[in-house]
Amino acid sequence: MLTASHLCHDYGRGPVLDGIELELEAGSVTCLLGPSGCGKSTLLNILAGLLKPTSGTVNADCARPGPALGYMAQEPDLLPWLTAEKNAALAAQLHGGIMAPDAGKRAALFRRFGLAGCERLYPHELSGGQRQRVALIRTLLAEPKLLLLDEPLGHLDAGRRLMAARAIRQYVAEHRATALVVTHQLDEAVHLGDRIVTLSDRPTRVTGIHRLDSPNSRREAFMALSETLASAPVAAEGVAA
Amino acid sequence: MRRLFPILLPLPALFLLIAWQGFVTGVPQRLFLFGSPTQIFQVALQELPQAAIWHDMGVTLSALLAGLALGTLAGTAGGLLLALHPVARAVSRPYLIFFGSVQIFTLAPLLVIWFGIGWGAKVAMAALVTGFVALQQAASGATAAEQHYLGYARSLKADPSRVMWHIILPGALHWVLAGLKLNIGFATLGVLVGEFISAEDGLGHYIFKASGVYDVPRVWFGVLLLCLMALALTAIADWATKRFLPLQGH
Ligand SMILES: Nc1ncnc2c1ncn2[C@@H]1O[C@H](COP(=O)(O)OP(=O)(O)OP(=O)(O)O)[C@@H](O)[C@H]1O
Ligand SMILES: [Mg+2]
Repeated sequence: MLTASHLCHDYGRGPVLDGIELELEAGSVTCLLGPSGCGKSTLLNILAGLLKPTSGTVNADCARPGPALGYMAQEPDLLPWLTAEKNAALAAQLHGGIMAPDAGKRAALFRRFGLAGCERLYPHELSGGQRQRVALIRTLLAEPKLLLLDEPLGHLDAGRRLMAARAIRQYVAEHRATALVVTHQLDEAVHLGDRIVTLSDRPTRVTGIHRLDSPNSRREAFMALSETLASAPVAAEGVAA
Repeated sequence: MRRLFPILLPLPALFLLIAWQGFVTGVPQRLFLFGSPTQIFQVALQELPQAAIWHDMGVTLSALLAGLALGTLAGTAGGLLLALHPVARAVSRPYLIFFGSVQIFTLAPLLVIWFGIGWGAKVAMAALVTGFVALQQAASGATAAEQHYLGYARSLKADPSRVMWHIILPGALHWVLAGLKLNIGFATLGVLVGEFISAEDGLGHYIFKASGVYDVPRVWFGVLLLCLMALALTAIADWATKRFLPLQGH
């Protein structure tokens, strides 16, 4: 579905990404875990085609009309002059003709994410977590094949976080989509992912890939990763070596 | 506090008027220099039934609105063009800073030379000042929209014309609208400066003429009319801002 080979990036003050190898499989959720400032957002921006890497290549095979990519930035970027529901439907506006705005589906997603009644509010009238959910709805509503989500659940409470994680999993299963989700929460990653990819600190490389295909492997990955994170950053370097 | 507000609100004005009246009453010299509220009231009774003052108000108001509209439209268009082209943006920035530091009002005498002493010069003056503000606001708004909101649209590979229509243009208009209240003040000032320097009608001319013959109450009356006009316009702008600018809803 998407393959990144030997991605390196440098903003001009030393290497940030240092040879990232990543393969995303269709129909699966990959969680990206790594220390703050290691370059997760940078990597996502490169994969989304918003940033040109210093070197390396990205290959995505999604040939279909309309928005194939669902990108959600870490910083909230709802349009302040549109209501929540108009923001959610922005993809249809930006792709008029190809995509028909589907009010029924939108309303269902608003209900599902606990935002019923917020449709007519403007972003500045929403809480941080509500804004984040609207941005997530906006991303899902466009029905992309590839989801690149940068800390999509960062501002949510524990219950909503699990609920949203389930909604993302379900979306991926139903649409045979592929998702890469940046997160800082180990439990979230274990709950959400089919795989967890861990990154080192800068210069950043992939330090480990944990497959989570059974409850057992989830538990094991959780224990192993807790150990590594608790003794980071020294241990993280150890894993890399 | 909430209940007392309607009673408290007019108190400072009342106090000021009474103090003013008391200060000048019985002292002809002070009355000559400062006028008095009762004199202003008499002037109002005298002037308002006559067509001349309404003509002056109409001239000033129409010049103000025309200048504001012209300046805002042209400025917004110019700002968008400058902001959208990376090269144009980079090259124009130092020029904008330079022209921003020019006190545009100092160009008023030139405008009178170019446009004559009629309505045109006032409109040009107001359009020039407001146009400059609108230009900067539109450019900043478009740039901000590009920086903050374009990632998502670009990741969707959206059609540039639609991105323009749904993101860049509203972003720029947002800022232009936010600058509207400021610009009403500038437009008023522009027209007034034009009328002070050289004109044959308008409120500024009325004030200037009255001050020329030391008719202080008439000067005050003209100032009062201007204030009322500006207040009304600001109220309309306030409403428009609230209506179309949800960001400032608080
Ligand atoms: N536009 C930029 N210009 C220069 N340096 C940048 C830029 N964006 C990010 N960086 C640098 O690149 C590094 C990686 O940043 P990035 O935002 O990708 O980190 P991150 O892993 O997403 O962090 P976090 O978990 O805190 O969001 C940081 O050290 C940052 O200083
Ligand atoms: Mg980040």
